[in-house]
Amino acid sequence: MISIKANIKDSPYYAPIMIISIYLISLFLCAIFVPIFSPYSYSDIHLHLKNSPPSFAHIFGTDELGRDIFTRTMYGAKISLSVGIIAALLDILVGILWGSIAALAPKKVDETMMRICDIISSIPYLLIVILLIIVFGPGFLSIIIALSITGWMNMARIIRGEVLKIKEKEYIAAAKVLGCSKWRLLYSHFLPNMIGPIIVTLTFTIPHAIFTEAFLSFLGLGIQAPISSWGVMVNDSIGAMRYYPWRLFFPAFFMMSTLLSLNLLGDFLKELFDPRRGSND
Amino acid sequence: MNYYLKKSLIFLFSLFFVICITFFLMKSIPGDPFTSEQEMPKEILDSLYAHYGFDKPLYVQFFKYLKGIATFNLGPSYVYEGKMVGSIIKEAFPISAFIGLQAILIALIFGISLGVIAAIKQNKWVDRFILILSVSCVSIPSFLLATLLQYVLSIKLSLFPIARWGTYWHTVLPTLALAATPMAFILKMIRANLIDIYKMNFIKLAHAKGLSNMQILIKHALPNAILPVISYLGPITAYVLTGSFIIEKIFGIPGMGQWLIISIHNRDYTMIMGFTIFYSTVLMLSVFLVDLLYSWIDPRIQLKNETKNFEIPLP
Amino acid sequence: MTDISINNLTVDYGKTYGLKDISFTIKKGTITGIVGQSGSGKTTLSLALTGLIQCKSLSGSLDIFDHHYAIEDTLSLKKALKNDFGIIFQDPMTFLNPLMKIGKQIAERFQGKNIKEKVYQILDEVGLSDQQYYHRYPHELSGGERQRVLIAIAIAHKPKLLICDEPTSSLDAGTKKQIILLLKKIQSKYQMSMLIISHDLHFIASLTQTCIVLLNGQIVEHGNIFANQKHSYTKQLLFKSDRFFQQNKEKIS
Repeated sequence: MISIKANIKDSPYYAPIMIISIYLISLFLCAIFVPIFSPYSYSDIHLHLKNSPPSFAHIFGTDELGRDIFTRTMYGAKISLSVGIIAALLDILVGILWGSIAALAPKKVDETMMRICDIISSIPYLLIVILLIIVFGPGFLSIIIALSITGWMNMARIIRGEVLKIKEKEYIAAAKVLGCSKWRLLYSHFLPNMIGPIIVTLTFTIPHAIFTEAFLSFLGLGIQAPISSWGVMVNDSIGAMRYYPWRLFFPAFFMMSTLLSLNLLGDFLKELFDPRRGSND
Repeated sequence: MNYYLKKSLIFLFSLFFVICITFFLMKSIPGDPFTSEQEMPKEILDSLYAHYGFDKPLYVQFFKYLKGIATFNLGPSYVYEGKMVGSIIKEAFPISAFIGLQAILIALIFGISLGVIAAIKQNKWVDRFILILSVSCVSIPSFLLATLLQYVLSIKLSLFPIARWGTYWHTVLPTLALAATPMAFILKMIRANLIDIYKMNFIKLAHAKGLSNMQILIKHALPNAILPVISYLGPITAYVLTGSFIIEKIFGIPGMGQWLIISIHNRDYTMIMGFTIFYSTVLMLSVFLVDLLYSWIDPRIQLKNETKNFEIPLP
Repeated sequence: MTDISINNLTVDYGKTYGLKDISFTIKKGTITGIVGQSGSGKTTLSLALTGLIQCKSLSGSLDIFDHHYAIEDTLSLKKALKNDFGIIFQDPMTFLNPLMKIGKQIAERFQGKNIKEKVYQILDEVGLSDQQYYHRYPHELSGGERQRVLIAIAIAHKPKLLICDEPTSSLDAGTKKQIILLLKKIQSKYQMSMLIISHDLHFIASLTQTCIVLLNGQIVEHGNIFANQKHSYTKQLLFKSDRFFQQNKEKIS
């Protein structure tokens, strides 16, 4: 770990990473606390105040039903981040299980499992997601299930590669000889070496899930009203952007910043965990 | 097994898999396209069912559908009287394809050039600027970028038409919105590849041979750097295909995406199925072609399993 | 003047010295070896001479016949590499562009007309006489053939000096012999001076007439070390390969 700390300062991402971390932590806290402490609920309608620009009472303004945009945006943060994190965790879990089982299984089983992985990957994931949402009906749970079904392949491949690499090493043979069970091998020897790729993939899967949810909202297949995810808010406000730009600006801004932050964080972590760094040429 | 044969089999099998999944998913949705409409007398419902073949068992319907696909007949639209799915695709696909291909081209041209510049000026401010730019492009969803471009360049500055289709200028903003993310990915790939390649020994030897920096870049570094990007063209095509749905909605372009969105709203199942299968076919075909292209360019790919037929005589 | 001399070559890595004020002369047509343990500065020497080294500071000069080159001047070194000396390295695979035909890679050394002819000629010189070799890719050749290609690239302009940095370390015993024969042939045909860097004493013994011993970036001894050793370190070095030298004492002296 010491060498990792020494290398952080060299990365071209160092300064932005500080800003990003502060942003993400603040967003996280707001997502939890604003919906609880705000004087308005995300679904409170104040028709007499509809479409009003940012003011003292409503710092982000109100939408076409007079709902407070600040509260809705922060509630949207909660929804979008939840979708992102839960879907990402499920993807990682399925991916780890699939990849490690394939790597440790006999060759034929491994080949079949990876063939299935390849076939699912060759179909545009959005099409599968759209089809699944049509079948299950739109909503929070459907989106998470659809994302879990289509997002695990990358992690599975990475994990399988790593396990195969380590499988051959001597200390594994030694542990086997000493009578370690396969599962114990997996968890105490393999996983610690794979923390790096797992964290990096996790960091990239979250924005991917948020993006997919927003995309679905544009098709009317996303989270349903009155629950506000960023995707829903953006979709609703595009038509009115000429006259009430603040309705689009705030959810769009937060969505973009969050996606940007997570992607930059992912790049940074990828560089950090790359074993080739720090070697002299 | 022969490389081409293997790839073709995977292609056909995946396609079949898509058709099955799509068909059975659609059929598994409770109800049918007609139950949402007003109360219909039973006789009319029955004749509608007979007309569309709903009264037959599922496997019969499936084989009928398969037969249809083999003859490029994807069936009629349930919602638009008299229109066949196939004919709608024939009208709409060229439009989407035009924007899509243009986007890929832009992504390649700018992605490669900027990637090269970033790699050459590594860690200087030009590089950092380009890196931040590329991460931004990846993070801004194409639809947000499209909205932004539309707002700034069309509405406020009136530089481009706001929406609809007609002249070449109508294609500019949609293309830019679609091209941004792939461009960023290509840029990062090229930059990373070039940085790695420049550390490699054959570049050192090229220096030692007395070649100029420009010659080394173009003849040695770039070909090796671009090779992995070619295999990435598959995912890029997928991204452009699916990204086009929303871009077309925002810009009001009468392409495939718009029809698909309408079909989803209307629960027009044959349209949804037909479009899904068509999209998947296009994508898988592109991946297949890209694999072919890659195997042509990289001399290290073994196409057939024959042993080399010249032996090296030892002195 | 037909001698080659390295003068006052110093490589400073900041924390340590790669090479400290190295000076030696190579007489025309002779093969000089450079031996030493890992870290002694052997590879630093070859990297410094090619201008491919990354270090804090570099100083010294290289005299090849009547041409004088300052080592810190990379442009001048590049010129030297083009005209006056050639260099080959260990592990030839990584030194060849995997996407380019080897004929084309050798052709980059030539300008003007009849480049293909010149390439065929040089391929023949290094023992790859079949013209098919022009169209082969690096991964299609064996290790020995690849090393021959590197030699071809290095001697294309009939340089006055050929530097070989661990040329046979990644090859098997049979191929090693072939390369040794090839190098000897080149040396006698063109009266080319050679500098062979290696940790393999057997290899050095069979090829070189005189030898330089490096320790911690400095020259400890320069002479026919297999016949007699002046410095205690040299003695240690040789007798570490105890068995070999006991067996071959007669052959060497």
